Amino acid sequence: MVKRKLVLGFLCFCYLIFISSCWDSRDIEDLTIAIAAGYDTAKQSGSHYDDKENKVAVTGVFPLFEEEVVSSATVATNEAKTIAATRVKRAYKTPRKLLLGMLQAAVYGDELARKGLYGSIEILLRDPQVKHDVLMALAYDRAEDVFKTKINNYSNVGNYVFDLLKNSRTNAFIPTVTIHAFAMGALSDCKNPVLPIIKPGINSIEIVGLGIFRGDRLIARASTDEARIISFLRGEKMEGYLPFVIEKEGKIFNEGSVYVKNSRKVEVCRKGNIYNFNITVKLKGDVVEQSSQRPLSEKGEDIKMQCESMITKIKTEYKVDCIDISRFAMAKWRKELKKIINDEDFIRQANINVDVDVVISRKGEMQ
Amino acid sequence: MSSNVQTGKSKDNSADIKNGIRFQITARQYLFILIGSATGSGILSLPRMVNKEIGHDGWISVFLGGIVPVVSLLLIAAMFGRFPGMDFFEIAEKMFGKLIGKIFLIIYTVYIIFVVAASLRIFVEITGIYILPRTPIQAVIISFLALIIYSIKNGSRLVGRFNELAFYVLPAILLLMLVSLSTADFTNIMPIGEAGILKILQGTMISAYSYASTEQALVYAPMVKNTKKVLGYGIIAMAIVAFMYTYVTVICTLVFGENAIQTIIWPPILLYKIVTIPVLERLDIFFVILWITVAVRPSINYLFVAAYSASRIIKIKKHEHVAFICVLVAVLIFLLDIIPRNVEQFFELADILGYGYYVAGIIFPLMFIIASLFIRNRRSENG
Repeated sequence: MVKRKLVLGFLCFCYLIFISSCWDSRDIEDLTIAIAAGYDTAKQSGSHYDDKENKVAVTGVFPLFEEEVVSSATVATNEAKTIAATRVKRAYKTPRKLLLGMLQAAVYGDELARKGLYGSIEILLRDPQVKHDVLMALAYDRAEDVFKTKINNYSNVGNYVFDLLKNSRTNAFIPTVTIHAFAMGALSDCKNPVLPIIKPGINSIEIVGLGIFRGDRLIARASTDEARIISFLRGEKMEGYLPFVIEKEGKIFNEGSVYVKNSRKVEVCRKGNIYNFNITVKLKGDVVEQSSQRPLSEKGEDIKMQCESMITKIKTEYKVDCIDISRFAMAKWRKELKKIINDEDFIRQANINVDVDVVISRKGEMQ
Repeated sequence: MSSNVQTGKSKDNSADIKNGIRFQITARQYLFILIGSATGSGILSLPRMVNKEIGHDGWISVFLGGIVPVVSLLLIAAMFGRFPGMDFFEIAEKMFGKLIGKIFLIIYTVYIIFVVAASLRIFVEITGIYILPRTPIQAVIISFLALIIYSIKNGSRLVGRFNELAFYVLPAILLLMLVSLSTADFTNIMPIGEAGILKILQGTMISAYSYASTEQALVYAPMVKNTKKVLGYGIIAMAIVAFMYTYVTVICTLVFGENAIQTIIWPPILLYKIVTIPVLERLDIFFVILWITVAVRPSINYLFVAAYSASRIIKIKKHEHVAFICVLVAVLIFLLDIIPRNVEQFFELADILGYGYYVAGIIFPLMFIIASLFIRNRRSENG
């Protein structure tokens, strides 16, 4: 009986230690919770010789939960040699421990993105606390400027950026990109990621386009109109209002807007070393407004022309598969293409045809 | 085998570790023990391993890898078929004499102890990373060892029951995994079979390590009440394990692709981190909580085998003394677990133990069968 009690006592002792997590307990009031972060190249490079060389600047957005505070969040920038080292700099100035488990958005500066982003997102991918659905964006200039923008009528700038990025897919035909999606694009043989570009304005932050990457390096920027076409060609599932103009014999026949959802189908075949891609962009949606009662064309000629013009730009200017079609060739000839799929020549020499299929399913309450 | 022992037999032998009720399991429990031993921490690194070696066709090797444990089960069944009513420990001594037979048994037991040490350390490592990052690893190991000793000290019957109970957590884990398919790319897995038959077969030998669990049948199979069902239930268990392994590997390959998957230590855990479900904000935390129940089973099952084997080697007969042996083995495992500096060293050990599986699960029973054929031939020659 005594032996049994001793065993039970020992077990209880072990479980008390284990369940109460003595070593892992943390007081919420002792934590600074980061909800958004910006990453830039450092402004002040420091001295290379005295080991104070700064390479990165990290801006954090930390909401404040205390009562009677004037601001709803603090925004602080620290520069250091590495991203983790900026946390040490932060610790010199702020007394609380950093918690990254609630991080929702990460914005990267243009200069840093041109050098390559994988090294900067690796710290987030490695951290077990951080979820991999943190939303990513590219700052028009510096990420620091984005988070130092004063936003009226919103809880804080971190939440604003997160909501802007989260809903861009359904509001503006701009893809919502997570760090997981970006990393998969940067690490794979044949995919190239894109990121929405955000720019600070007066009391607002707006999406101004799409950053085009080769692997993890930014190589070009596209405007919002181009971004929409790139997204259609990439097959990113999105929705939004799409204006249309139908001309006949040089006159406007009908114009208005449709609310559409897009999808894509890609077929690939080859003749010798020439790869033929046939992309069918499908736009399905409802009429929202139109100038006349005339029947709508379902051929999407104007979208098709924009797609063809974009493909020419991709082949001559970007020289990178930013429309995510190479993977379909890889799916058929992986072994053969593995070494050449990322060459500029592959996409330049590919024969890419586009067809647009518009399906108008509803017209609202009007004829 | 011990099929001659009926449930509720006289109380005299109820505490006997060979024939006692506490050391009898049903065929269903045997099935759950085999599944439980195979679906621990190994499944978390399997997709990375096979993608590294074979590429996007790794899942085919994983599926075919299921043939190796079936071969092992067939050999073990054939071995026991040649020695009706005897268990592994009796057969070893009968075939090779007391000294050499004991050497075989000691090799087997030492291998099992290392398997427990490896599986427990990897399990604790994952718990440490995701739930208890600041808790000293020693504290976590002691806590789990205490739980394991409590589970096994009363015999294999409780081990079987725990395995059955924990098995029903698995479907929840596997179903939650489907959520990540929203980010899947189906071209990641194509073209199917491009790696070639030779490479896929080479990969089969690598993936077969992950099925390690059938070597335990040397101890658990004679404990099954209905011996006729042992082989059938064993094969069903391996079919279920093969399905789960293939399912997890396919999903990981679809989501990460063959390049990215190689950069991730435990790809299946990340499947729960890439998407958010409303209300269940952090799926990865739910996964780890559910997974603890599932992943502790190999440590329980193997530690029981280690303690039972040690007890049989030193001829302990009463089950009360087995509990003492359990504690001794657990102390040994604790010491083994705190020696390596990091999980990488345990991955290296796990690779070596993979070969041990072939020795314990295939070569041992095969050797015993061949030896028994020789002895039979010699006896028939002698008239």
